[in-house]
Amino acid sequence: MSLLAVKDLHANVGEEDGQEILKGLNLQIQAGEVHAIMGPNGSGKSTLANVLSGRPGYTVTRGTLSLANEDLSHLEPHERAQAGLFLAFQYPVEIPGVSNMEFLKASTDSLAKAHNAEQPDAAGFIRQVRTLAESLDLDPQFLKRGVNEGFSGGEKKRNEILQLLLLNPKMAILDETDSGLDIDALKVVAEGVNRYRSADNGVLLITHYQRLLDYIVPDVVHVLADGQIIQSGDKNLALELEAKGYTWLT
Amino acid sequence: MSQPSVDDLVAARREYSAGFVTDVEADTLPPGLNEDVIRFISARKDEPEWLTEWRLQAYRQWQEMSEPDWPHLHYPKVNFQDISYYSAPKSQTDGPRSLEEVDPELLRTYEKLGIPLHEQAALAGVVPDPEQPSSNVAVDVVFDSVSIATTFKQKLADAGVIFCPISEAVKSHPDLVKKYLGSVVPQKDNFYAGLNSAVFSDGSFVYIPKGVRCPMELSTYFRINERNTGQFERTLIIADAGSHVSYLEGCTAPMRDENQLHAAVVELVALEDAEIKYSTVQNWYPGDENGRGGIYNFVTKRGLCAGARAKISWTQVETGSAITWKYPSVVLRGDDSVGEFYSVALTNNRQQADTGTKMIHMGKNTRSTIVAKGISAGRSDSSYRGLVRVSPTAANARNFTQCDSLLIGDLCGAHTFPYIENKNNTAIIEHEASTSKVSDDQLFACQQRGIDTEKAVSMIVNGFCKEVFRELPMEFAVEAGKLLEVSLEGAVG
Amino acid sequence: MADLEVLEPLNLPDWLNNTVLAEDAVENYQRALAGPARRELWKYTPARKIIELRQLPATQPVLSGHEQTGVTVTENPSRLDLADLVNIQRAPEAFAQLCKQPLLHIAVTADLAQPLNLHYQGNSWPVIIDVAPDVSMTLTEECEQDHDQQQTLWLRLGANSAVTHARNSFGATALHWQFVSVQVHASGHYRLHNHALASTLRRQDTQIQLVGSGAHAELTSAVMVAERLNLDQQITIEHINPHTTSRQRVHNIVADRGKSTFNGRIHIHEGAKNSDAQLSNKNLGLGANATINTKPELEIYNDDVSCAHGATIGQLDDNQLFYLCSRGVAPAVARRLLCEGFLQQCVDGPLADAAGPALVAPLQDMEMT
Repeated sequence: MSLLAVKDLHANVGEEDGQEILKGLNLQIQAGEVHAIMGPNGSGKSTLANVLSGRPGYTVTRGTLSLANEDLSHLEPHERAQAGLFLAFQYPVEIPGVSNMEFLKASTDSLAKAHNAEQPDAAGFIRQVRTLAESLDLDPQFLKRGVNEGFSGGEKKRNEILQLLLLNPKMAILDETDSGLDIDALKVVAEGVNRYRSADNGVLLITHYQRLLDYIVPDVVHVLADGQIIQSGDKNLALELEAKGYTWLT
Repeated sequence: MSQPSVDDLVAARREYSAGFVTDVEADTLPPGLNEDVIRFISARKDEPEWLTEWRLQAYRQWQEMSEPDWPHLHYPKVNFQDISYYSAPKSQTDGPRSLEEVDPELLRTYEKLGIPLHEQAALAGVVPDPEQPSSNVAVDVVFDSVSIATTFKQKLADAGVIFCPISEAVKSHPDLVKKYLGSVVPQKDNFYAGLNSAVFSDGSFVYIPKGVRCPMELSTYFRINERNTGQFERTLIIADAGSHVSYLEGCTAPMRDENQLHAAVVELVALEDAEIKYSTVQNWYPGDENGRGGIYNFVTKRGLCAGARAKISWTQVETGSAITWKYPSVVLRGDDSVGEFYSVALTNNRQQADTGTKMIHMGKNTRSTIVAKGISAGRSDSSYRGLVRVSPTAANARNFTQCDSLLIGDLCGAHTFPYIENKNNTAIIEHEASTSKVSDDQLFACQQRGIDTEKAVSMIVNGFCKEVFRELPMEFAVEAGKLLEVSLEGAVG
Repeated sequence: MADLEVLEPLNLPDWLNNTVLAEDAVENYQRALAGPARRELWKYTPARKIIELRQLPATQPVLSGHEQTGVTVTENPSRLDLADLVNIQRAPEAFAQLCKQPLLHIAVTADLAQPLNLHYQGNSWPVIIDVAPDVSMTLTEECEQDHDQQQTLWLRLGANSAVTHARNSFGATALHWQFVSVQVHASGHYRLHNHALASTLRRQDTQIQLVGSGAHAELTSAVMVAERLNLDQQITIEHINPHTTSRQRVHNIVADRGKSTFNGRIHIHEGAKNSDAQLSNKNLGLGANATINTKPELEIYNDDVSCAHGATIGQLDDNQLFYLCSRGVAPAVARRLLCEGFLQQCVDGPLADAAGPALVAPLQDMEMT
């Protein structure tokens, strides 16, 4: 059984009659694997991330998608999260007034409830979050501030990784997590992702640049063009793309 | 040699180029207002009984009303008995004529104002290009209380478009007039609308039939000439389903020491899928630098988007009149209807303006946009007063309002009074306002690059008004820019 | 506005006689009652019930923190010169209170380590607080809930003084009128934290005059209007002298059939060059029949100023909602969290701990679809 199984996925932006962006996408990720999806702008990379996470504004017209054999297509975004799906946003939103701590607590409590697990005790939870923050080079003071409020681009991305490590999902989709990061920030982010990786979970990296893949080494690299995966290979495919560009394939 | 600072320039004089008087013999009523005066006006225009009664009813209701005291305006009380309510050039007393029959002195007036009345000409001196249909503009010319000519009537009639003075429409299309007159601005709506309904002189009537895109721009040009008279124009524009019309209104008046009253009513009705674009470049005499003379401009303008997907846009550049009180509004009754208001209001010397708009959202998915730019200079005072009202039935209403004030000098005032009344929680309303000045730093930066101060201020002000000028039909955009420059001459400070 | 009837005639009290304020007092009062400005102030709120509150018997507020050195409390002073503090034109109803009720005068002449707290038992004597120059202190106000009541407070901040003022107004069933008039002298610093729940009708009139050069005022207001309740905030800030600054942030949440009225007027006088005034009013409507009226006003008579205001009416941000849901939080919970966050942005100051929970309590029972 694949951890994440996407079969013949067709999706439009907007309603049924909207423009089709995904035109029959197939993807199977096994537990323990890291897959990378690369592609030129407009190929549908962000649409894929949005459709998998259930973001409103898209319509799936055909195909299936499941996580650990659970059909995701009729699940609301929070239910998909409860099922074990995590999306690290390309542009994490700011929520002034709702503190980072409050946000993380609400999230972990919801997931614990959904899994019939015990809510973590407050003190232990705070300790855990602080430790994670420090490991990702985030000043724990940020926990009192609004979600992502006043954060630089790099800090926002690291906050996404903090959430990844805290919530420990089955499947992590990282949507252009490397965009806007300098080398040092990139290393911190990569280190966090690699810490998360295990034989039981999976990672889907959506990226524009090969550079990230030097730090998070993928098992499989796919090329997305015009709404479909047109080529798959090992990590060397990424290097070839870097050297030759996308037109070489399309 | 030092460059004049912003303060130095406030001393220079401003010239109002339209300030001359036309020497024609006129038929003018003595001052005073009573039922006889109203009957006289109605008889002069040879109106049917129902309209005379309509006027009288308005007059009786008006007598029970009182002048609004809430505007941010200070002026000596108007003595309504001290105004003459009718004046027409003697040569035109038999009604509007074709151009050949118009008194040449009157024609010269309009030529001086840059409004050539040939059938090929455009408004405001833009050189007409026979290849360009849009450079043909049909003009209805109103001089004091009467319309003296309407151009292009035949060409418009071929398209089914009715464009004629309202005095004529009352006789030629009584059913249309009866149906729509007072339907958007009722007689009791406000004090000045009540007065206008009783004594309205002339104005334009426009009817665009179903599905017709009016082949040319229509315009009315108002000229006050005779002293001690009031001008009470009444305009009614009806755009039937799927039709489209762009209408321009221009106005000027002579320079006089006494104030003259202009209380107009404009009603627009846009049916399903119709669009009306109404543009005004108002250049009434603003009074001299001591605030003597100038027009009192009390206007009620309202558009009704009666059908689904109807659209009404008001675009105005107001630089004249001593006192301005006007709120061109749109009632968004039809679902998916759209209302727009783009305005530049310039006040200088001792002018005062309390102007703005009302957008009333009633249907579903209605949208309104308000962009109001106020420029105050001299000792003037300019207020934006707006209302955005969303009724409980108006699901998914959207409004965006931007009001910006530019102050030139520290003796003027700029104010914003935006009323937002929302009763439906699916609405999204955004209002922003800001105030700025033309700073000595900005001027110096321009001067350092070789631009003289007056040109620099003109550039800055033009930039400030860009968003609004963009909405004006081409003919008016040119005039508006020039008007702003002239109006700011010497006021820059 | 039929119910804006003229109030009963004034009887000038002893302490007022022979002061500058007494000159033309009656005339100014009558004129203020009849003018268009007063009609504007009561445009959205039925005035009669609120004005009738004045008839209720009044008591002194219960004070705490007044034993500190530097605080002098005088009941019913025989003579008071309030000419520069009280402007009859702006506040005729509050002036009528001054004439009718006994007064409490508090002078603060030294820094206070503890807050001075006014706990109103119901309808209250007018309170006048004089803060001496260079003094810094905290003032807190609370009221007994569920009593019909009104309070008028006059604050005079001496040059270079600093006052942090917090006010919690809870209780859903009362008629409540709260009037505050603050005068800030040169380089004075005034901060108001207003936390309020709507009630049957709660009316808050706040007038701040920045009379000295360099004076500064800051106001944050978090208001929760639960179902069928009503809150009307009328705030005026006047910049009278140069280099004065003001900042206002007002967030209102209005539930179904609730009504919120906000008027935020900024008046920059002719002499107030180099002033800077900013106002942000955000309104969140929940439930189909919420009524939200907002009028941020600017009245500006000087060009060398920086003024901006913004007012929005809208719903919760979709992106923020999705962010929370994507982390497993159910939509109804996410909405409640975002509403609470919206209010929290304007909860601050010494009474914040009590305010937070009280303000968000009505959200717990609301259906957040």
